[in-house]
Amino acid sequence: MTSLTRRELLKSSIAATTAAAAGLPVSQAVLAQGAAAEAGWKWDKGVCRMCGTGCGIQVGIAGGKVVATKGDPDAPVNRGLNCIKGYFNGKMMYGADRLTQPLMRMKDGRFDKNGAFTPVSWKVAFDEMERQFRRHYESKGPTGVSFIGSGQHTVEEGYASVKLMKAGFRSNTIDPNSRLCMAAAVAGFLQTFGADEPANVYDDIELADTFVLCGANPAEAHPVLWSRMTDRKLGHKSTRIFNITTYANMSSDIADVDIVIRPNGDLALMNYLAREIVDRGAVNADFVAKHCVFATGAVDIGYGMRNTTKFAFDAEKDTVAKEMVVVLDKHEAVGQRRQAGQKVEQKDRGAAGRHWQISFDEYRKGLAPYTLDFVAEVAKGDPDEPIDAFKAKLRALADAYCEKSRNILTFWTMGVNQHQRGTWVNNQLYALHLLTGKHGIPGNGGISLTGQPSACGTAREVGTFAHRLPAGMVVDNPAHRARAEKIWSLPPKTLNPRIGQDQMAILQGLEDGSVGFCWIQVTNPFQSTPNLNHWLKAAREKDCFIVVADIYPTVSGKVADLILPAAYMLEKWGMYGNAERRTQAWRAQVTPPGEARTDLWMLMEFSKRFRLKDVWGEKTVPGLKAEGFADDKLPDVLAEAVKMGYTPESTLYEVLFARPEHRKVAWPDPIAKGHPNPTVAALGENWFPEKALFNEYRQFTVNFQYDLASFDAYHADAVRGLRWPVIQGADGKWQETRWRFSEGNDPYVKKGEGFNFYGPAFKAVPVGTIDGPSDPKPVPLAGKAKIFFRPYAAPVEQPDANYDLWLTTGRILEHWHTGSMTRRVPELHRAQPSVVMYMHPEDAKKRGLKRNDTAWVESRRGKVKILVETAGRNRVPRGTVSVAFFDEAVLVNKLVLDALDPISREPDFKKCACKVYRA
Amino acid sequence: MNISGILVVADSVHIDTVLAQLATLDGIEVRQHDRASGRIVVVQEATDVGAEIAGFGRIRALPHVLAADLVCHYFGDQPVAEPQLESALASLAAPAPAAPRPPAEAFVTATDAIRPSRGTP
Repeated sequence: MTSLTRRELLKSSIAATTAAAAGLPVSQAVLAQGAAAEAGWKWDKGVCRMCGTGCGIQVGIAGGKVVATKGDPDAPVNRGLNCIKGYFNGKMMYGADRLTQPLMRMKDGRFDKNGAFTPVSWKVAFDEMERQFRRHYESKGPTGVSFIGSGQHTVEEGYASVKLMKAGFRSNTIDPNSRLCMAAAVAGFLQTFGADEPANVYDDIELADTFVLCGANPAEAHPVLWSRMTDRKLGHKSTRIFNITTYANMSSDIADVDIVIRPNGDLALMNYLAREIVDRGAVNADFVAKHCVFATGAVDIGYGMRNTTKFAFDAEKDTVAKEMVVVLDKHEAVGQRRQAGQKVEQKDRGAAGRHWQISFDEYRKGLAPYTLDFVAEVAKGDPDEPIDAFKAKLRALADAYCEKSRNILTFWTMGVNQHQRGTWVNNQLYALHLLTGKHGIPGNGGISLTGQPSACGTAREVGTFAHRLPAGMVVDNPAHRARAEKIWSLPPKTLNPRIGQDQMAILQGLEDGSVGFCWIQVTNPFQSTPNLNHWLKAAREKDCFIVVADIYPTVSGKVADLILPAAYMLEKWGMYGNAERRTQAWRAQVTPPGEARTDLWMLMEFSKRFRLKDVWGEKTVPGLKAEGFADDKLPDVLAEAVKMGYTPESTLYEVLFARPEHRKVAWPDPIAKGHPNPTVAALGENWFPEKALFNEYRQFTVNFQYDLASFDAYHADAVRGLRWPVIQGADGKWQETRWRFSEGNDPYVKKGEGFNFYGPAFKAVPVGTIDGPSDPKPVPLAGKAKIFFRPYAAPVEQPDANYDLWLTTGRILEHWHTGSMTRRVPELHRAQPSVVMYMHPEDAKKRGLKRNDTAWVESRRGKVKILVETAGRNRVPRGTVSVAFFDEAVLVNKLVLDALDPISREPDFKKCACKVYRA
Repeated sequence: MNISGILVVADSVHIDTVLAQLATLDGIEVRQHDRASGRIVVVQEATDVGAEIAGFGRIRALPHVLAADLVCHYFGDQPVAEPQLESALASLAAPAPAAPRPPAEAFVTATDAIRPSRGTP
């Protein structure tokens, strides 16, 4: 066949696929041409590597290479469509600078922290890794070593990392990059409902009349969901879209009402909306009486910064000092029913999540100051927008929430979560839906959108956090530890009850010397965390050993001591869990290049180097205080281990991974259908680690509200993922759950209950008034959700005479996060950085700048040079500039402050003060 | 060789204009369309990633195009290594129109006309 004919056949095939996705008819002739073009190809199902939407893809293989990808027409999430990032799922792994060998800094044939990166064998790499790990583990204990994982880890990899760190090394100093994106959402879920993850599903999009976006730009960040929303709008004429944002963006183009707010104005806006719901009689009294309680919590909780200025750059000391004492401004005074100028000690820093039940009257008391006039003054974000126009928009939004027959969905992501009071805003958004009884039912609900492909499935469900164990359990609950120790066949008191350092604390630990070893997989923290100059310096100058496993060189790799070449998604077996609780699986399609290995293999291979005598003897954990434990100590559990059949010489590989019951899970396995398993190949074994570990993990979930189906069920060819809880019926069929917490939909809700918010967390809290608990005794509220009152609090750092602009950061459509996959490390000389700073034309003019000029943007913490853009997709109001963080040549996170939401410890990337001037 | 399948959704009232504009773009073939829904099946050929993305951007920027979704991607004959991927992707940003927004009071009583996403050429 000539290449011209082949090309024509390929085009026919592609046209046919596209037509099918559009629901248009395709002629038999075209179908036949398509089949001819694809002769010899094999298609297999997969999941998109990118965002939390979790689109299904089909991967086309020929000659051992991926030659094509397409949206999976049978995937309920995307029905054959892709966005531009998902479009490159297949191509992503074929970049020129793909890592194929371990690279370590060497001088004179030995590791040297100031040496140049040199290719080494895996053995040499692990030898040094082991040496450095032991050095820090032995001198500092389990808190001196750390692991930073990811919401892009597969379920099996995340599970292996948790088991290795917590059961093996007894360290809780493991935290995922999801700390930076979803932690506030998780805290919001746990405080409000007692359980993590949405009650609603994507199906609700086609049932809704109104979409409210808050701190979410789905046109850029969840494009396929946006396609579904816009499709709904095109097909259902009464659909309305509201966009609550700090600048007009691509989602604004389709929205009916664009509400540009000032940073933290959301706190006030939500209270206005709640007040309207109450005042207009739109409360669903029956639902609230049966299924909800009112609550409020500690207010003076600081900003999650360190309580010392010791490590602060001189310029940032004034911001850091506010951690301990805040002087209330006039808006805070009104919103918190206090006095302007009042100096408030942040006495609840150490107990930021403390909350209690209040009466409906007390709730109303809290809402009372949030009149339209007050809120418009606090929240209006565009100085050029007339206040009356802004007020009209707020009224229109209130109308939408109050209209009884309107099906309304609220979507939010980073504008709400990456927020100094992110947990509070999450609480407030649910309050609107709970007050009106419009949550967790078809077409109605508050939906926290997840950014990464498996922040849900891996980080949150498996529990790869400093405080977590699988299936919603926590390390500081003795019953939870006992359950984990049983499933993992560990002696009692193996697991460490003291919560470990989270991601920001790990980086601070590198800076202050308390953390010496850090292994990073599938993420790029030295580009993606705030106040970067601190961590970049620490990585290079402190006595620490940093290992980065990735598929391409990244900024983190560049400041690391050892770089390990990792396998890409399609080069390994895996599962992801998306934002609607849909766990989806894929087989390895091709083998990794060169010496690249799966992250799972790395974890297991490293574990072979440690024996129980190294890790299960007595360990020092500063600050450990738990019943049955001596202060600051983990006990020696080796004697009990021997009784259980282990020996002090047993390796962690044998104890945690290659257990007899796991070895029985054979490879090859019929479910593989001839696909390779690069983990097995590299291990040289004949058992199936992904399946064996998933089987073990699944035990945590069954009959525990997190029920997952079997490994084979997810890999079955006809299945496109299943939404948990998944229960197997008497007929053997797997029944997934769409709407949680409601009768008839959720297997955990009994007949006659109507709704049951059965999540167990925080289901006994004291009772009190708007100002505090009246009696410390916790009162149970099983089965209920909490409608929280949260007050307005001002951002800790605001524009002033010196740093006179707001800086906000975010993502754009084409680049995924730090761009490690969607872009290459520049190997060529670059004339200009690719990222731009969106700036209002008048602000630019005032500073002698015009479009395409180069400027410095500078904060108290650092500065970067950047291209000015005064037109383009983001139309910022006067007084704000916006920059995306994908460009490693323009590390905007150097400028961002590391204030955190104190409850969840998630950083606020969305608001700090900067200045801009000509370069 | 990069071949893309692109589903274009045009404002159905203006579908002829969109079809005519698509016909003028290099490397683009319109294979099929449906008047009622405004859906158009487009196949694009491009020599490299930069051209692929630029082509997609041009389609999205056409007036009366409400949405353009990628459906499938063939790149099997491509040699490895795409150093231009990042700058090509970054160039996809198209200036947004400054479409005036109806006043919020009008929201409740507004007619059901849907504004096109990219109004001005």
